[in-house]
Amino acid sequence: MPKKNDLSMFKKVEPDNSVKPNEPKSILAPKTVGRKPKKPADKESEVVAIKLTPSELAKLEEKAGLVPKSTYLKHILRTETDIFE
Amino acid sequence: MKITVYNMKGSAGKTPIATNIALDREYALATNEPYNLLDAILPEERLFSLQPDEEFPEFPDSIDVVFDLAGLMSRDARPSIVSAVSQSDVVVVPIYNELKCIHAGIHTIRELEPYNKNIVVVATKLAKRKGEVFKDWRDSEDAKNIKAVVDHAIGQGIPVLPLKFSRVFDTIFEQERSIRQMMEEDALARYTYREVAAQFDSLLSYLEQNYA
Repeated sequence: MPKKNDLSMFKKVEPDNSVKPNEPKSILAPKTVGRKPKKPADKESEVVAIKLTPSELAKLEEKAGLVPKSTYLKHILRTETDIFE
Repeated sequence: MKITVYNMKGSAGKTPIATNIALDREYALATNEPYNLLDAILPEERLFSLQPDEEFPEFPDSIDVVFDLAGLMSRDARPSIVSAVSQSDVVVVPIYNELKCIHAGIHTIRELEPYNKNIVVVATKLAKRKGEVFKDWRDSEDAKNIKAVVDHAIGQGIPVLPLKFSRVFDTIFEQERSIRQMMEEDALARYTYREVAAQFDSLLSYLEQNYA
């Protein structure tokens, strides 16, 4: 039941910008920071080793630039081929 | 009913009058003083405060609200004062018998008139001088002087109602109860505050009969 002469609906909702004190943390407290672990099916846990000639490796390094070589190849395999479909 | 209580002069009795109305009649109270005592006295849902340079929303007529206003219309408080006065059924201007307050009160009335013609002056802090004899506080020197100046400066159309000086206007904030509520619970208060309570009831009855 609404209260008599209630002005709550006219009040602006202010964002809570108040500074919260830093609470001391126990080393025994559960870890609450960091990303959640991936599901086992999403983990990239399987390794494939490939052998290349020195000139092929040089060309790969030139094209990959600063990107790690395996990351560069994985990107090409996933986006430009239908191997994984 | 929507009532504004305003005088540009401080300490004229705005907040005690507005607070007693809010407590006694369960009105909501809206104020342009963001830092005030009232949040300890009134329930949160019946208290609305904003900055002086903000406009009050148009409250529906179903809500009974008293606006307790501070600041100057000629300066940064104009948006809050004009938005409150424009939507009010009546504006109460408390004035006490001192040159600065009377001067400010007359100036206040002149500034308010374009926005609301329903203006009632309450002659506050009335005191009985030595040797003064009267039955009705309207006949006190303080009240007569305030009425004479208002009549002369503004015209005779503005009612001037009496409200005597009383410590009860401080006690409201200490006890967090209206005059009437204190009287209901305490026989001594019932005796001590009988006159000021009757004046307050007359004021509210007058406002409700003529402007509600």
